[in-house]
Amino acid sequence: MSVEGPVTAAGLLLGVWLSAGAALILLALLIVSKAARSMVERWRARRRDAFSPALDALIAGEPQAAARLRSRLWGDADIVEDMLVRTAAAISGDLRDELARAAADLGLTRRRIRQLRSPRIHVRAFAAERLGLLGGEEAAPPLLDALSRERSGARRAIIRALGRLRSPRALPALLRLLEYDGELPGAPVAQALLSYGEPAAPHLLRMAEAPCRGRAQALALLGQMKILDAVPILIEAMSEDPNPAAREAAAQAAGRLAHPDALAALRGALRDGAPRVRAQAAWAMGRVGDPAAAGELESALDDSDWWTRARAAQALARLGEAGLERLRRLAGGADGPKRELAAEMLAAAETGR
Amino acid sequence: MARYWVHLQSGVVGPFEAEEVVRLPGFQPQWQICPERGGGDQWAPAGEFPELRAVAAAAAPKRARVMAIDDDPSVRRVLKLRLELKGYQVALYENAPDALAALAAKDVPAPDLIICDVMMPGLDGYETCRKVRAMGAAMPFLFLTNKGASVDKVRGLEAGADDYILKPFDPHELEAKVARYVRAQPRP
Repeated sequence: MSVEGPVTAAGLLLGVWLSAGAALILLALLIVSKAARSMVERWRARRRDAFSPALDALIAGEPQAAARLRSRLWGDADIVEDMLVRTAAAISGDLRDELARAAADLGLTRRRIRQLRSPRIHVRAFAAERLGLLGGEEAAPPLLDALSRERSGARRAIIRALGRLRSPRALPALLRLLEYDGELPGAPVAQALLSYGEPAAPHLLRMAEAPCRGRAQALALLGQMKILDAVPILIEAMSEDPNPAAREAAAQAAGRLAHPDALAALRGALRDGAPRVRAQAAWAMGRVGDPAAAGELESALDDSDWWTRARAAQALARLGEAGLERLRRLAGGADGPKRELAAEMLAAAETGR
Repeated sequence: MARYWVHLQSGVVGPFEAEEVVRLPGFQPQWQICPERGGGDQWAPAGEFPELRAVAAAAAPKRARVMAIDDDPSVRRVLKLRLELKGYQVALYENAPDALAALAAKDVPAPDLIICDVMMPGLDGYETCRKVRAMGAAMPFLFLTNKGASVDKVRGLEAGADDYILKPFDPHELEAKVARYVRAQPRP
């Protein structure tokens, strides 16, 4: 027992010393890594400052300015690309095209196109992002090529990049993909087509004409793009299409277009067998804003689907005095759920929500 | 030839040591010939030369002032460069409180037009616009935003803004809108 005491104390002391040593080494490593990071940041900031006048000259339209952005030191290419991307993301038109040309002249586009074949997913995805932000028309074929073989998460980045480039060459491929593009509105292909705007409309109209796999997406996009030529197609789709998703998309698009010609079809959709079609139709009738629809909307407050009831109450609040009058009556009535819903909508209408 | 044409317009060609500055009545000098940069085909922005800055400063009261508020440094950079090229004096702010403080300051001349981002940390564009109008300032107020839905436009116009420029913006559209609103301003 007399030996164990000093041995335990020495072991403890050694343990304390070792722990303190390890902590000191960790602290030193932390300080060194922080200092290194700060040095790299300072270096990058100095290089950014060095290229800043050349970027200013490029934005100001000075000829030959792009040549002054040519990298001289290791790491410069990334810094210059970063500066160009940040600027290009904020602008459109000739100046954006000028920045894309500068990126191509400096070899930045070529480098990213090469990286689309990288074995690493994140490198391929990042390359696609950069090409979308800073690429020109020449970036579209390699991106389409990459899309045809890509099966990983980088596919989303490629589609987004094609949408940003708005290349006419990519439009047919994106339209084909729309058929397999999940639910709207967040789906990447739909978003990419939305960024094309008007040039995509004739293709979408053709796609929406008859029942097909991508019809629902095409109808919804036509509504989002506010294409009035789509109204007769929406009317037909709301009553005839066997797919509830297409009927729902047609009702939603009719609401976005707020066209009075769609009201009769919306009245029919309010009696649709699918609850989500009825809910969308009620919302759309509010957007059309015809007081003549107040009676049907009030009846829809008895719908078995709660979302349709809520949408119908919302729509009534948008019909002006005809709808508000009905809501006031319901708010003072004996039917509890209707009374609550009507009171909520009246309060929202008063506060402008 | 250039001197002859400038004199015809009642202007001057300023003889400086190494450069030549052209000044015409009613025009702001933007560019000068800079021989050290390789001869007459090399041009540089006016701001880089002290002589030209002095000329520009002398003519400053004639230049319309634009206040630009945006938290994105790239947007600020493009706004400043493109609008200064068109002859405007541009004051940049990265947040709304600083811009409002400058607007309230007695010693800072009021801008002729304000361009403001909508989505900013802290005070957003709508609130900034409301505060500007509450201060009694009536200059044109343009929103620069990527919120293009009609509900956002209505919200902006209700807050007291005059117009919208959607991001990503075409600098030509921006310049045209700024010129239109500055032109429409009553002259003192």
